[in-house]
Amino acid sequence: MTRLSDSLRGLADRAPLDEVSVSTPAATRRINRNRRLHTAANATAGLGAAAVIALAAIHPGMDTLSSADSAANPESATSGEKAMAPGFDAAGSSQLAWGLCGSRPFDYEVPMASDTFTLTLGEMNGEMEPGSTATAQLTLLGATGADLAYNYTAQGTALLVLWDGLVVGTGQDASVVGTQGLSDGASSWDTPIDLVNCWDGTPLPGGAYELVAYQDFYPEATTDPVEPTLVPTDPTITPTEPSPPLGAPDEPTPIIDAPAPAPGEPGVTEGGSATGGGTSHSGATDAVAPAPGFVGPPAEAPALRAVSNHVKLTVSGDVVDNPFGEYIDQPAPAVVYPDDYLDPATARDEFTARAVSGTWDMAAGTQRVTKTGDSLGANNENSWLEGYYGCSADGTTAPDFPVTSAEWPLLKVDAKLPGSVGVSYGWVVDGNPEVKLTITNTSGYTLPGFWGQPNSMLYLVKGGKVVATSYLSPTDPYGLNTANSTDGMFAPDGSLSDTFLWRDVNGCWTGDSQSTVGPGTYTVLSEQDIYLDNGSVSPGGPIYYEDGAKRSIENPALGKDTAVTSSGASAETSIGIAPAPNPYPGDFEWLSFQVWTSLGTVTVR
Amino acid sequence: MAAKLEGMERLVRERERALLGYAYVVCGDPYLAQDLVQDALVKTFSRPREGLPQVKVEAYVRRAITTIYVDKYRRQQRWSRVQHLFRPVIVQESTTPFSDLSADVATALADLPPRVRACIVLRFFDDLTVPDIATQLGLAPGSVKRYLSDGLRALELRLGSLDDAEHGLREEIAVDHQERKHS
Repeated sequence: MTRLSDSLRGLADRAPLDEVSVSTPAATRRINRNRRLHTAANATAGLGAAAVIALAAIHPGMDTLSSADSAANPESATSGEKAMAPGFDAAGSSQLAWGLCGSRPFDYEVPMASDTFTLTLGEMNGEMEPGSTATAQLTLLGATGADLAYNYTAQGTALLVLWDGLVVGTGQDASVVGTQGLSDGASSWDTPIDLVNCWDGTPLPGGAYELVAYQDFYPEATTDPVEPTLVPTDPTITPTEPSPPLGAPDEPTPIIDAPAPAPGEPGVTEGGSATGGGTSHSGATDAVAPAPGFVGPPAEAPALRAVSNHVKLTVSGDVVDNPFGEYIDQPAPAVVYPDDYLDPATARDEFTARAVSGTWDMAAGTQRVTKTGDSLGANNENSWLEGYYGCSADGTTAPDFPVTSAEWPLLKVDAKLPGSVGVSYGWVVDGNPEVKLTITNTSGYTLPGFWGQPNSMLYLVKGGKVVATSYLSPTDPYGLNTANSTDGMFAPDGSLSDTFLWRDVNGCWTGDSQSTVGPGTYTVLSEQDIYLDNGSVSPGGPIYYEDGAKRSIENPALGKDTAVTSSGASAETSIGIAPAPNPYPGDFEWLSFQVWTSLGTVTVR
Repeated sequence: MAAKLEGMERLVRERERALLGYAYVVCGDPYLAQDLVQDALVKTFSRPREGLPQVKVEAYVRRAITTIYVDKYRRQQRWSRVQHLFRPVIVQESTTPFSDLSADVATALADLPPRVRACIVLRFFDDLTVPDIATQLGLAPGSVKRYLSDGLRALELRLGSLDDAEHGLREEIAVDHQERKHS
């Protein structure tokens, strides 16, 4: 018999992911942009853009290309980086994060912009009532088949209501895109959009707005017809009969019936039959069930974005000054720390006074504090390695515990661990071992960054080297039943406690292989991060570093000529967030620690 | 903000493979998995979640992965009703090499509709309860039970009897209280 949970974890462990990676610089750029003008962006718009609606039928007669043809496309994947997902924008604005509520999408070059497809938005005549539903008239024209290098799939059209360039309302096309007119490469349809703001859904106040629509097109999977073959092809695996071509009219569907639609999902019907407006074709869902062994589009194919013309949209009512100020102009709350707050300068002195050198024996119950960052340090790209302890930082050698650490009883850590655990594919198996963690602030100072739960990570150590790490899974993962602190301050002698499930044991990676956590006894260390700052903020505002150059988040042009390397960034990362150093005035200081506590040993069965 | 994005970099540095693997189980495609993780990170860290403990960060990112995936499916479904009218659906041989029995599971999962698949992953990979899955995916608990039941039935047709199938339909997760005091 098979345990599904083990099988799923084995699948995750052995997933074919060698050619994909996550780009933190790209994610950081996107996050910076999202945070730039709003503090509570409505991610719904971005998520809405995630929908992919197949539109290849725009050019039913179009020839498909082989992978070799695709490889010859001049708009190939960004060189110098690992392969990115199709359509991924290495510059940082991927297809899914553009046009977010509160952003200014046209302040920058529109990512993926292309005129291959032309999206036209009809004029909006007359004044609209606040909170009413406007109807946008859209026309999509596609390039001729001869002009296209790929088949494309298209997203549902997204609508943006702009106020002075700021996205204040969003809508998502709720119907199948122009299916009736696709055969000639053109389609027209109406899409409603509610005239409410995208933060909390209140009616848009009176005033002059702009409406713009966009649609994203993705190169479709290679569609050269092939005969279904056995998947997988590994000869050691018992062959599985292939599914019949999905969608064959007389074949029984290989997928199970879909359950009843969930609340809030209009149009989703049992068995995939269609409801509502548009063409109804029962059973069509069966035709597009995920195909076993489906192969994604060629990585080098570019994604395209069609952006419509901007049209005026007038909402009746009194025009107010700064109508969205309450959403975008939230002043940063003043930082007021308690008198006994552990400020960076004091912490630096304490660390120096309590510093010890030499090997830590990691006896149960002992604790060491390591300094992992300091605003007064060198802060070059390798600074973070000085106090680093964990899996191999360079993929070759696991580091020893830092030579210099401090015997500084900042936190008392109590933990109830299982005496032994079974591990399979990096997962703790045979039940869900419970770990109860309690931390007590024994520093005599108020510490920041504690918001209701211990924030600890476990390390398995053998011979002084970390061999595996483990994130504990909260039994209340979203903190629904946890009394969270409002300011994150952890007062002296205060305690935080929570119960976790010990679910994963992640062997460290060396080169291209991940170490297996074999049977044996391991020392378990708990690690808790502490980040201190003095609350001062540079008048220039928060900055980030891009390719070694300083950028202001509020004003990307600021400091462009100042080359400063980021602190805390990995060697392969050229972007990071850091406090503003000189020439910015201000006295921002920061310091980061890791508190390591030995919890004794655990036996891996 | 500095601490927050350093937290993201650390999460990626230490958990990239795990997150990608999880996303792969959710969606079944390595490139889509990459996009899901990327967008889940952006979604998680774009919001000013002051004080989000490191231990919760991964949970948030995983949650975002499943919700983005299911949200995408909801929209795709609209097109799916008529897609077959315009072009043949072609099953293509995978070029993804598998070297172990994970392939059986991958193949079986690939036959599940996305929401069913998401429920299976959240139940058997994440050990979420039925109510938690319902909350996360915005579904009624009854729908989640139905998805789980249907999903397990389909998987057992492919994989044979599953040891933990019955456990998966229970309301709550089992917890092993075996423990030892450390301090």
